[in-house]
Amino acid sequence: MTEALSARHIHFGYETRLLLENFSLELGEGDFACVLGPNGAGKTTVLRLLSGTLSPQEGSVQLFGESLGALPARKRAQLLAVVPQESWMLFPFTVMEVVLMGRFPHLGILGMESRDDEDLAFACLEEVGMRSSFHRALISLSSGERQRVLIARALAQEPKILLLDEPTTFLDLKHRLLIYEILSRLNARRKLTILTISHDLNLAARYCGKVWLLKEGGLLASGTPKEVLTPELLRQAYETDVEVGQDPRTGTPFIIPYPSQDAGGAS
Amino acid sequence: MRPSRLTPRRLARVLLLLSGCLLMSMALALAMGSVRVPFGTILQALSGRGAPPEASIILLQVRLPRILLAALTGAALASAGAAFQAVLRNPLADPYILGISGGAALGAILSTLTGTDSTFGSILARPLFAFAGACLTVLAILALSRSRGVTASTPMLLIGWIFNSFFLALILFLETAVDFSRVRGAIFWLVGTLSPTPYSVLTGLAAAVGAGFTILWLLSRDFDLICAGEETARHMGCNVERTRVLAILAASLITAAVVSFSGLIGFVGLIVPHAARFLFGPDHRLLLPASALLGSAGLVLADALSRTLLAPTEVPVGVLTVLVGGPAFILLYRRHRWEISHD
Repeated sequence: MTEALSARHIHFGYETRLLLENFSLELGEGDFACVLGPNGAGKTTVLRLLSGTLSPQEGSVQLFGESLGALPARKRAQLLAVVPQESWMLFPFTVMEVVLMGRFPHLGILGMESRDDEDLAFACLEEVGMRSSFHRALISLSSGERQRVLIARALAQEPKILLLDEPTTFLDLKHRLLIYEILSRLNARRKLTILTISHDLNLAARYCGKVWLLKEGGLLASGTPKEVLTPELLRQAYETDVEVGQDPRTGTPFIIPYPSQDAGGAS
Repeated sequence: MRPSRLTPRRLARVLLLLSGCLLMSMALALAMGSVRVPFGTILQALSGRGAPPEASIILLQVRLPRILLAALTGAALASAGAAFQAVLRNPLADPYILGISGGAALGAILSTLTGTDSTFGSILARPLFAFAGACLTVLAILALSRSRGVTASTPMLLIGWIFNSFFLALILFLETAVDFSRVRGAIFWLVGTLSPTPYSVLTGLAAAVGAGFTILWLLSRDFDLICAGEETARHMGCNVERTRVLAILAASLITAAVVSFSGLIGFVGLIVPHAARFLFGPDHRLLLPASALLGSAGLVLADALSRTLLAPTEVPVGVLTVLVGGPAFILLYRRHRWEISHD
């Protein structure tokens, strides 16, 4: 399998705190993977390092064998798209206008989009089931719908890799499933390499082939959901007692949390 | 309902329509004044054939240069406002509120008070001092509102507004200290007044405004991306830092250029971009030129009113932009309010 995106021996920290120490991660082409971990473990930092927003103090991040920091911004945006957690938008841009912004790395100065670009944008909206809303203002949509439009915008960049920052945090049950269904289909049909940052252990367990579990200072474990999402490791990462069962339909693990016995909580 | 996206055709159509509006407002402004001039005579004077000499002088030496100054000023303030609102990601930003106009005016006044205005390069000194004043103000505001490498727009507006008030007070203080009889003259700076300007100055002004505007327009697609968030814009391939620096410099240049000849005309930079957005949508490739043309036509008409409303007394044009622009904006806002506050 070809390596799509990798981080090697990364050290990263702010003035007072070392966030990641000797952290490595390899994302193969066609992977659907997830980075899990408690608040403050450095999940968002990992995403920012992998997307080129932050540069590591030591170590390197490589995108298809090239150093991420050395790639021009437009070239990088043609290979790697990021779906942000925040879907707020200044001024009432329409859904179509928002998705066409994804064409930016492919167009020149002023970047007037052609008919082909518009067709591509419609196809991307079709993928996320938002085609019929193309004329509506983004800010008039629900947060689940907005999240789908932002995925369409990322697809309009025609990237090889999609990074998503907690794509389901603000969403209801239906939309949480829907987002992962969409991603799973994109991964299967378009061979899109996908990495999400998430708090949702159960969705990650069901949909992702590979997970990384972070704890302060770096990586606690990595592997398939079955290997990583065990009561021992989860207790270490989240300081919470969990019961791990098996999803009767898919055979994947599912996790039920309980208040920790020795955490000295509400007892 | 507006179309779902911008096409080259729609861009051309809207800009043509607005150019027509601008030309019509200029023709109307030429005809208006203490001496009524029929449109036939205006055409004769403009083409240089067969107009009576006194009408020619009124039109070409008095009214036209002032109309051109109004057109340039309106275009510059409105496009600078649209650019600031985008790169600072704040719908309240405009060169006046940010204190940049005030800094430019202070620079211009210092060039007059220190006499550099008349000793060195005369006509160039004032705009250069104004540009320096605008740039120093921007640098100071950026330095003060930046913490941990991030520029937050709320502190920036707050500091800008304090700078602006401080500059206005300082201008009044300086004018009073130098010569009390000049306090009336200070009003020129504080509310903005247009006066006939030599064609040589207008040419230079047009070059500066044209250059600054071109830079802003070339960055207009980057402005759209920045509206989606700085980090998101970077992810889509936009060089946010470079865009922001270039935009702030270009917008400060055109602001300083017009402020040094027309004083502090507030409101245009804040309101015209919003009106243009209500009418034509937020895509900056259309919004920037549309704001420029709309601001141009608006200020030409406001100036024509300022000359005629209480004739022979003149109302400062800055007073009229607020008196007319305010209520007009509230009417527009009532129909589009959800576009500004949508939470």
